[in-house]
Amino acid sequence: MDFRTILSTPPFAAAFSALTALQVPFEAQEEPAPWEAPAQRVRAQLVLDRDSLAPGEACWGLLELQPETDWHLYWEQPGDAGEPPRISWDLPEGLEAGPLLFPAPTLLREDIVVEQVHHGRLALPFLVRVAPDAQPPVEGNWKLAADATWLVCREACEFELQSFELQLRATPPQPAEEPSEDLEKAPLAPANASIAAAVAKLPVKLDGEALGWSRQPATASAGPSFAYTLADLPQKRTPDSPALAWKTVSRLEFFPREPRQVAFGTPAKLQHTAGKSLTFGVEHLPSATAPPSGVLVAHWLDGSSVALDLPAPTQRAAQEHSSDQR
Amino acid sequence: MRLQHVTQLAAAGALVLLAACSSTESSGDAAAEAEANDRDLSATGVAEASTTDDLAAVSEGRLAPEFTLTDTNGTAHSLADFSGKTVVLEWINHGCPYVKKHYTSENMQALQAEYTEQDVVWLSICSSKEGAQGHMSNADWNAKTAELGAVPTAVLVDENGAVGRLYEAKKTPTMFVINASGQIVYEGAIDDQSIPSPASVAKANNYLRPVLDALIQGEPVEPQVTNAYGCGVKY
Repeated sequence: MDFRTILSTPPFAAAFSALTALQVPFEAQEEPAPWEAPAQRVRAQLVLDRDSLAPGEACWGLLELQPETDWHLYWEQPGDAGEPPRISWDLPEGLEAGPLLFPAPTLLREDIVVEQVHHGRLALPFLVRVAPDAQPPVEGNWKLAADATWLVCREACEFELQSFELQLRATPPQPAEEPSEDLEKAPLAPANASIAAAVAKLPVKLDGEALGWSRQPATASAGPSFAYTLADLPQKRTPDSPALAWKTVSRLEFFPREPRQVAFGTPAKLQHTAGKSLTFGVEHLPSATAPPSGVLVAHWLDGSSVALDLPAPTQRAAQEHSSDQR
Repeated sequence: MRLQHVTQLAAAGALVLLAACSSTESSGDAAAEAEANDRDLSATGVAEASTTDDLAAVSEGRLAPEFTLTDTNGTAHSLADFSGKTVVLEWINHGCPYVKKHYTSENMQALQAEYTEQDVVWLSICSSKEGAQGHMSNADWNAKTAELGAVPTAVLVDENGAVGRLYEAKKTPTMFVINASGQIVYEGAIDDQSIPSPASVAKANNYLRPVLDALIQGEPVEPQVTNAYGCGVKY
């Protein structure tokens, strides 16, 4: 199968070698040297939701990755092996890009290697913000340069890099609008349908206040576990969708972010559900110290599911439910 | 990033070691031990959730599992053959971009040369199954090793994956350092640069060097585990 990269811009790898510091918002890594890692298994495109921004404004962007059939990409925590897609940005003074945001992954077991992966098209939204005191460039356009990298695997793995350049026309500040606060929150619903769809698929973030945890000692059926207690569960996916029937959840999957607390692929055992709360347990590793953050996917028998983004719980929950209760 | 010692586990160190070995015991023992471990960690308080950069201290260094594998020249080697020496195990797959980075940059060859000259035993182990990325015939292995100028003590072929599973090697490259007493004192990443560009090696903080240098000097090394980066082992 031949692949043509669509919307590919002239490679900027050579230009990158001349640049010193790149802003990499979520990792302290420097930009890769211009070595060959052409995108051949994955078609990629990078778009922004707006073509202009004023100081104090933010907009959504999207890194869209389409791997060849049967090749997979990795979640932000790839699991036992693999590396996730990343963007290394070169941004002008006053511009800031947030991290790539991921939908819920699926589990891939290959012998003892358990990975948290994405099959098929992967759409990763991110936010771009202009600082309120940013000085627009003389020529009127902000130039954003990005090196997107990813590991893509089938039985073999290949590492690929694709460079992009985007532009934003700098518009004067709008005094009437409130500056957007932080890049974690969406300033506006995206206008672009693809971006909107990708944002809608992001796991629903649960407040740390609504999350508690406890340790459960080993029982006949399970080793020592972390129990997560979720309160204040979202009652709907969107304002227009039907109510979520938490009492009839049939299956859970938990994808840890931090390694070495809970083994990747450990079954999440539903222990208790009520209309607004849920408790599940996951066996932890012998050296585990604290329950990891991660994504919980709840499945219903009709095939529907919802993904919740759980921060690392910090509050101890009262141990109301033992691991053998439901 | 320098290696750091996670001292809050030191108090529970002995129990951690027992718990780490519990997978080889009966489930009843494991449960009892885990329960003891559980109570003890609760008593000492719970540390913060680790990040991907966190290093965990594995108190005493678990004993390296014994194994015998045949090298690419048809000679069998057992770990016991190297008792009394420092041994490096390097899980390898020349098709993996992250392994390629260390060989293209000649980083791995340099480490092999430097430390085998100081009487460290360096074993490159490939657990790729036949037909999978990284698996090669012995002739191809020897040609590749020569082409790259790699100088491990031996390249060991683990095509049924038995040793990889024994060590729970899940990605390439993963490094293990075994001290002269046969304990694993380091397990994990070769360095802190998880991008596969050869140029990244120059700015890397190499995790092996401090461990090997200390062992060569006869200094004690507190066992450490880091999060390796790389491609999955192709069992």
